[in-house]
Amino acid sequence: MSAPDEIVHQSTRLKIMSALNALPRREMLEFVRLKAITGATDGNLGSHLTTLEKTGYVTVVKDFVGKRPRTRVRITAPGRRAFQSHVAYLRDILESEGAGV
Amino acid sequence: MSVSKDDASSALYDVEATERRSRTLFGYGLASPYLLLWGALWIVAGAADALSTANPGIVWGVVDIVGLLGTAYLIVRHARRCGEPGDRVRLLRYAGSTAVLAAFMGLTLMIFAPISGGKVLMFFTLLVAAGYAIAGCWIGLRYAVVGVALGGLAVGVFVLVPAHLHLIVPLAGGGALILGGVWMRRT
Repeated sequence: MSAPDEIVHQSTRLKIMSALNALPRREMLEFVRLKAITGATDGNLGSHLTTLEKTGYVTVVKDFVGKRPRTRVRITAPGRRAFQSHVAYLRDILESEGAGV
Repeated sequence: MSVSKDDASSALYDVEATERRSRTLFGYGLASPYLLLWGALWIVAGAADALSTANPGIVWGVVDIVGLLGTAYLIVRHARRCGEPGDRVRLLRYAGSTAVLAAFMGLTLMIFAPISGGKVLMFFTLLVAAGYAIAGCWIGLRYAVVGVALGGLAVGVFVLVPAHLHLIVPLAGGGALILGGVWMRRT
């Protein structure tokens, strides 16, 4: 059975990782779009992104488009592996308990 | 850390719903340049057709060629952005699809000939609108909104101001595609 990942399992972080995992490799998601997808507030999303960045699961890129600041987020290879492993763990729970019924 | 069956089930539901939404929004972002390109070209063609004395067939033919080449460029860029190999295969599929569509349109017009220019314009417009509406049923609501808006505008012009069909339908249709493209580009 796969192991759980406490960093990934938290509800908002799980949504962030799901949204990023659904994109092609190297593709980034803008902060605004990530906020719309996860339904999180600015502060909440920023705080969870910091946690994920410190763990090395995402990369946050800040730049400017003209004079407007832009924040984009990309999932890293270790982040993708951790997410997929955690999802496998969740599926194992359902399958193992389902098999026992 | 221990996760109950209910928690696991709820988390997996969230994962699937979030991945689906993320893919849909990413798809809108990819579709946006196609709508902007064809919307702009449609307006240019409509204006050129109304203002110039050139044969309408030549005006629309030139615009179609520019649009088809632009679409080919966007297809290659789209595939590279998604890390998908095989530009040649994609372009061959695109060429095949275009040939099928051109044959369908040509043969349909031949069957219904003689047919007025206004009705040809309405036929093409409603075909495009139906394509977007059908795409909306499968891959994202915003395509359906664009399709319904496009079809509704065209039918409205056809019924209410048929005398200015040649000018208003391309302008309104192109405008609808551009608005749709901008909407898809945003969140």
